[in-house]
Amino acid sequence: MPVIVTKGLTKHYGTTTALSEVDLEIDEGTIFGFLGANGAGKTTLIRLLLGLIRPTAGKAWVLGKEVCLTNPELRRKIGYLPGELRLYEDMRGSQVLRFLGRFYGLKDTVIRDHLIETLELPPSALRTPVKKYSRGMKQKLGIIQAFQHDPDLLILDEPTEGLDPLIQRRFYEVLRDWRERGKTIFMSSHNLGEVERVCERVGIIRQGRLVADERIEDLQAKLVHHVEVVLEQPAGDGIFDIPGVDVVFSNGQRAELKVRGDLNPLLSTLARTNVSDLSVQRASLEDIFLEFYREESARCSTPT
Amino acid sequence: MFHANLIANVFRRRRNLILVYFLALSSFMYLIAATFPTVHQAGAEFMEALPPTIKNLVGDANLPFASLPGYLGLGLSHPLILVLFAAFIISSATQAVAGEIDRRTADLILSRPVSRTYVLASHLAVTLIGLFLLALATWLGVVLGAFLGLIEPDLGRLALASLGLFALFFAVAGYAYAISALTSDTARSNGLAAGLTSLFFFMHFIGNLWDRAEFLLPFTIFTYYTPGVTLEGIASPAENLIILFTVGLVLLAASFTFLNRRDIA
Repeated sequence: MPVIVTKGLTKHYGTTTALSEVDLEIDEGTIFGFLGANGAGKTTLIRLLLGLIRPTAGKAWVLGKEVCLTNPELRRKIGYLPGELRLYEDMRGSQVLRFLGRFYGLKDTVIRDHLIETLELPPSALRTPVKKYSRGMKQKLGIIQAFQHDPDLLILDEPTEGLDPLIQRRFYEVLRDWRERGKTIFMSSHNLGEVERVCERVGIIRQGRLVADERIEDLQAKLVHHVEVVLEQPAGDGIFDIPGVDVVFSNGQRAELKVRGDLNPLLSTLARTNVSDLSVQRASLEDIFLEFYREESARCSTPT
Repeated sequence: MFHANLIANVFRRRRNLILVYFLALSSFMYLIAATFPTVHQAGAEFMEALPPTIKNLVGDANLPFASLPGYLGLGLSHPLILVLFAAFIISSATQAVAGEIDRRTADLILSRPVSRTYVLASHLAVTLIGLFLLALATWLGVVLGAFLGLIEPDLGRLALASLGLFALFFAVAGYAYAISALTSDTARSNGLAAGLTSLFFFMHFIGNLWDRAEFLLPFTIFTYYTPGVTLEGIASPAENLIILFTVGLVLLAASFTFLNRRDIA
């Protein structure tokens, strides 16, 4: 069953298009990574899904209900961690968790207590006003408040910002546990390694448009491959002059190549030579991400 | 309509301010009551000699300012009282929407299963409780003076005059909440509401000072706040109270509509 569905979701701010005709469908039990540069539209989409802003066009459904500004019950089963988290600074950590938990009538603190332990938020910190918290401690508190009422859908905007690597790993385990429990997680991140590690599906947004929405392995297979080839004898300069193939390095005998799209034209060329060694690697998510943005930056830097 | 959790949270953040203002207002009105016997003996002629334009600011140039009701009316129109009430109402209204958005805590609250109407109503409830307590403080200050035997005011009329003060700032709350519901910036919301209050006060002042500006008087809320007239018992404040409460109610209703239709961004 899809937990998030958007159809033609569009948001304009005056003449600026923040989001343009986004169609998305995310199934239950998925960890969905949402990638994009600053200002690409990630937070706009999250705000639309939460009913904090109105779409200019299109519609969104979350947990089977249409999102609108005046349907607060929709948010009962959602846990939300805002990006650039701000909390009531004069409250103590425990007061923040109790205050936010009361909106859900929360009495059972098993999840809260478990996460406090897992994320190593010390009991003394819970008795301290939030204004004295470090960035990482605030983020831990933000994560706990998002999870504490056992939501079916978690919307996390840059969840590991400010967390140290050890706590980040523990947080990834928490995400995997929640997925195994059938929960759906929609997370935006700048940390491509993190998305690659924990998400099975990824969406890439550029200038408000969803330019990719696929399983990570499919994207990797489809888009860019790193190829390293060693020939038995030096070849001429033009051997790798093949559409979609970029030469990263070549000394005539050994070459490092980046292949966009189909590998077969390169393999056909290599079949006509004597190859002593060949390795083909799928691109990292970072390569894929940069690939989607490369075209845009090239267009921007071209004088007209 | 109200959300106990939210009300408790808003009240927790406003209670110290309410307490300080409560003490300041009750102390000030106690001082007004306590100084009456001295002023009455030493400065009656001076008080009566005040220009009519100045007397008009308190409601009526024909009021006997050297009398206890007239003197208490002056106290209830004192700029200190008006500034403290305005500061409380405007800051409370700004914190309700613009302040929450500016601090980015609005995301935290409005992503919960609670309607925007409940959020605003909860802020408004605390504002009105605070306003009631501040108006009560002005009454209690005078009551304390009477209790100590310094003066013998008509406590019923005094309560009506304090109700007038409540009504005046209920109207201020109306436009201050409407402005807050339309803006996302603390400074802008505070500035616009304070600017509008100053404009109304200036219109009242200039309308009383200058015959050719009299046409401004019906358009300023301060015209409908007449504590001296109420305390003297010259006229019933009912009509003025109805006008001020109506202005406040209409604008508060508008602020709920604005908030329910706007983007939180």
